[in-house]
Amino acid sequence: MAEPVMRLDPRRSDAALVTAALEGDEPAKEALFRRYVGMVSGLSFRLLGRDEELEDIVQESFAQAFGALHKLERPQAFAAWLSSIVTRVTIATIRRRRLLSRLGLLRGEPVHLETLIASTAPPDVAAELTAVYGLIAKLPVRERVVLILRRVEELSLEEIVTQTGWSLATVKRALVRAEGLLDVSRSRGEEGEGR
Amino acid sequence: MRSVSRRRIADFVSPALSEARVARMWSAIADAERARLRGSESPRSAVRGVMRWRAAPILAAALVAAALVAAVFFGVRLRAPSSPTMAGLVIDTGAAVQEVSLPDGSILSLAAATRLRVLSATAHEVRLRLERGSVICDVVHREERRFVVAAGDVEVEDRGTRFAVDVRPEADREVVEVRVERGAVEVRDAAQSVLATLKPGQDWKSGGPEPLTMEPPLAPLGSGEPAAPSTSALAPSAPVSAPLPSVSARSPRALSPEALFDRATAARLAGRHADAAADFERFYRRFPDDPRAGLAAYELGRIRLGSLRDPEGAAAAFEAVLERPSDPFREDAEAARVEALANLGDREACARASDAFRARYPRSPHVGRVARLCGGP
Repeated sequence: MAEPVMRLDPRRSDAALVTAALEGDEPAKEALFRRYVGMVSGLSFRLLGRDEELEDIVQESFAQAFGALHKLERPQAFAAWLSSIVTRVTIATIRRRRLLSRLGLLRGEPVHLETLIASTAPPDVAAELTAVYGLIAKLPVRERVVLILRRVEELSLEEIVTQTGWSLATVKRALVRAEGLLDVSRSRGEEGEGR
Repeated sequence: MRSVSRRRIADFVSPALSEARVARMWSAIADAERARLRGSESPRSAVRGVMRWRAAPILAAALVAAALVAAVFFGVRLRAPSSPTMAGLVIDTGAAVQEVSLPDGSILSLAAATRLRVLSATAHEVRLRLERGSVICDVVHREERRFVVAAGDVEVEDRGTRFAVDVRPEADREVVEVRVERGAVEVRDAAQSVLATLKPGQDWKSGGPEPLTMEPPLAPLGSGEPAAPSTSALAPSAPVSAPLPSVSARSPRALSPEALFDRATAARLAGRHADAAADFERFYRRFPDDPRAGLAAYELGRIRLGSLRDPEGAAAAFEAVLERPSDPFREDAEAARVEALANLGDREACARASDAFRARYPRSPHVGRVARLCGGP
């Protein structure tokens, strides 16, 4: 029988750390940061599709979270609350970049799949990720975000609603559009391969 | 289509997060938080002060308390280690530094790459086996309960204590090191013979290729190392034949760079600022060529400046970073030095340092804060 292996040991619970952080305990804040920096940077990285501006988003997300910690009604839900913050900060960044790009102030940047997707990804996962990230640059922001939260983060529709703050109807509409475009993109890719 | 892989798809799209990168991000966040708490800036403007964003993003106006999302983020939950059902459990910290709080208030701080097995955890005995890595045990002593850490061929039993145990392979054997910071411990061999009884400040190392040497306490950064010897405390029952275990005052040489840095980080995370500062200083002194040496000096400066309220010592630590021209923390250290000089009340030196910083790093995210630090007419 496989032995139970405990890889992470958050014995000091999120709620305890949040309570201490509210009292100005900097080590508690740092403990929260270190516990969730991987989650925050990972989520943002996947939504952005690149590493640039990642640190700014991480910093902004944690700073917003610590600044609004007193508004967190359920300290034990810190992770979920934080993930909604980083999602929204990342969305704002994507929108800002799109705006700057339209104004000619920023050059569009292609997604580099070879650096984005781990070489250890199994073939089915790599194919899924290649299809999604090959498409996102062409998608409107909502469709892009919903597609990644659904296909890559594997969230339910309700979770996406919570994370983005959009209505369920908006999320569903965006997902239908994005999935449709994904199907079209895949069929074109298959046709190209068949020639 | 969902992957049939056991891992999440997201696991295959992850950014590189080095310790230096994480530390850099935390440094910026901590600066912003301190500025916010001082009331000099709003949370958002404080963040912008340390960020490189030039265009104000349109952010959500209010932060709402979210409902519980995905047990994904709460995947691993622990049971209380001092429970009989915990026997056999293995704690493997992977790349993280972890802290385990036992229900009785005892705290175990585990370095990265540490593997600790819970052999038993009852009201009468907590017995752990350190299979690799390093653990610091801050034990609430209870007469009716034994607290034992086994490592290599020895066992370390608490006597009301804060102590650290490291185990690492060396040649074809496991080398065990024990350090006591408070109280006392007994080190015993497999036959339960007492090899050493250690008191605060004493180290013990199992027979390795080189016995530990006596190590004097460390002097403040920049003033050299004093040569005051410490006591040795070999237990009478220690075997006379080689290889001899040795006992000395704290011997940072005994720790690998990784173990020492991890111990310093664990101490900092646990709020043991003086311990953390001492270990970061040791690291900087012992391993000046290590890529983390600058980070260690920078961390030392931050701790002295913030928690230890020692701006003079902080300035010295930051200056140590500045002696490393290509160190990635040079810019941060130079900015932090200005803050240290401001805290010292040396307005002239502060202004000079501030001007120099702004001339050297006109686009630095620290510029705004540095410009305000020294006051002025």
